[in-house]
Amino acid sequence: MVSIYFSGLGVINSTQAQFSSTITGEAVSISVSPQYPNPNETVTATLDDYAIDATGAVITWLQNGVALPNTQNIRSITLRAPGAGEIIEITARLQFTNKPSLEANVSITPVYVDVIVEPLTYTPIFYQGRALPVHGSLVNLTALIHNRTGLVNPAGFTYNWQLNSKSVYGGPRTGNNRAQITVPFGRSSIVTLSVTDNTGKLLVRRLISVPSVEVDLEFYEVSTLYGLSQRALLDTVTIVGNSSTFRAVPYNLDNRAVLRNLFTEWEINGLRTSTTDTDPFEISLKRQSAGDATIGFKVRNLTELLQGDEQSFRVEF
Amino acid sequence: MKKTLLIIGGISTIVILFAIWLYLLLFGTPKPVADVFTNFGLFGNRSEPIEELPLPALPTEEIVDVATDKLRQLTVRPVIGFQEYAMSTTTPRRILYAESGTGHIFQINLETGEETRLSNTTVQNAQSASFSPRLGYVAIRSGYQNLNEVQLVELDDSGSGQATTLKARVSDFSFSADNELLYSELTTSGSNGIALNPKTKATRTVFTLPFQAATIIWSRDGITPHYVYPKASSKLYGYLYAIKNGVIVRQPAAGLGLMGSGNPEYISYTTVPLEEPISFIYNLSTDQTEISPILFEPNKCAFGTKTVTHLFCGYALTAYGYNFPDDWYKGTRTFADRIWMINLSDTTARQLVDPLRTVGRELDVIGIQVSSDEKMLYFLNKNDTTLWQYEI
Repeated sequence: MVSIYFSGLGVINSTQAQFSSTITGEAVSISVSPQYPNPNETVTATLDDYAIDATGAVITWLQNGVALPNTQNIRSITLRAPGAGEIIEITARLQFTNKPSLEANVSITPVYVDVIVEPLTYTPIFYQGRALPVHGSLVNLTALIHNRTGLVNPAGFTYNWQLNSKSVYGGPRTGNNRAQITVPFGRSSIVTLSVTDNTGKLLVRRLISVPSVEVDLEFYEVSTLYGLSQRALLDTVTIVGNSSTFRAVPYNLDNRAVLRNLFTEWEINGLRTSTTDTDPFEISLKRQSAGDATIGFKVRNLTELLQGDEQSFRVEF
Repeated sequence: MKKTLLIIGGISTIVILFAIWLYLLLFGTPKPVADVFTNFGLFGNRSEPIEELPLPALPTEEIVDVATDKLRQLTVRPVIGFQEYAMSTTTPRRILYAESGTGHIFQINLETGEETRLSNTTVQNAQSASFSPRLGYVAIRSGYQNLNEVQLVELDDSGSGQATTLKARVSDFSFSADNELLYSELTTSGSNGIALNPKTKATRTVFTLPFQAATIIWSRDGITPHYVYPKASSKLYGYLYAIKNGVIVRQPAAGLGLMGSGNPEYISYTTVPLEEPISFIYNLSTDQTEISPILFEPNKCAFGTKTVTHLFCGYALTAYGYNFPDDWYKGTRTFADRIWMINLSDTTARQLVDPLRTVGRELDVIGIQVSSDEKMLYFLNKNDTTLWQYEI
């Protein structure tokens, strides 16, 4: 069983952890949901005995050999997964009056397997958030396995990365906990990571949603003395002094385009203007009379034409 | 009536009218409108001329109001970093701050309100600053673009300040309790946490992170571990890690838009699971997690310095939405925060002050710090980056 739950904006996250099932007796088993739980996560264990006639059986649940209270004749129990690297054994015992007892076992050994998503797109240094992927940009993925004491050396595991069900590197690679993908078309993509240990046993599977957003252009006023304002311009700004400088910041533009293959253009009242500034993202406006004007800016990645944005704001002077 | 009298009367009238015309011609020059407007005196303006009073001599040092209200604005200059210093119980408490854009260092005596400039060393486009806990050093980042550098300024009595440019490609920095400058340096495979002795300039590696886009909450007390999480975005998953003695240990906090920090007994963290962010308080000793009454954002909150169960936060009573914190970090969204004190043990919150009500200002709290005796809060207003103080 694979448990998928939705969290926010269509982002899918699935958590799964290692378990191995040992069935004692006939076709009786325990299914665990989520199949690969995180440490300390709430887990539901359900008895599957549909292959046999269990009429009249007394069901007893045990954790590490100790009977769990208030669980007799319950077909599904909820418990807390142990901490990272710890093991618990769950047993479901079926006792019959007219035939031998049956047992099903499952062991749960949760580990933290985190997948860090690092889009290689532009954000300014003052921005404290993470850059977001846009179509055609690169994204670095790093899998980190943790036990109780810290990070586990990735060399002892084999990683199989898939993007939208297609293998990223053609198959699993031992010791390589990093992957790089190019963001495909669509609002989001699903990256699947399977980690197996050196015995070939599946340790964990993770499903990660990688969103694809648009380039987001924002404007900021630049003070000659005090530097960049921390507040983005909204609709209208009033020039108080004789001149003002404004900076356009193209959030999430492909990093490779920022240094080359970039088209930028400033407009004043719809007319293209050439700026004398050496920085194509800044414009300085000098007040010569009273009135207002619309200042526009366009940016586009000439390699990936879908990467671009144009926005404008009004200045009153 | 006799004809003679009529002629005499007529001539007299003509003479009088001529005299009036002559007077007006010679003395009746129209005055500027401003001089006669609302001057209803029968014989013109008879008021005494205004004497200009001599202005009182300006003091050589500026005086900051540090006594009137519990919530006070300490600066009108934009500030990029500050630190309170209380050398002893007998010496006055003072605060040092670095001015945005110039990097000039100023000092405010918090008892007398005297403000003096300590360093006139200009750091062009100074964008962020961190002061050493023991007076003497300040690290200042210059430039707001990605090509920037960090300068270590040594404060001396001359006011000139010796500035040294760090060679490393620094992405984040802060001073430790041991007066070491802690900074993160990007590498090809992630980032390293480095400690630099500001006197000898010797460095040592504190930890190695396997990723670059990291927010590091540096330990300021030497007891709390450093907390690290991938930079927060409401659209991407994050995980909280504690780093102590170079070992990275995963904490039971993860989710979309994760942000978190902690003290030796509690971890506060926020995720954006659905349409609104939710904050949690995790008790490290009991292994229990409770929902926090106040939204936690590491820039807007600071743990108590004397009481481990205290957390002070700026928080606005409004919907934050599913784009938080991205929109707030970009500056497209601002908040009119109130100041709160959260009791972490029973997860209750008490409002300390509503600035909009008390001083009529919308304060978007960032960089909040608690004084060593836990009697003062200092923070910046993100709207204009002015420095504020609140007396608890």
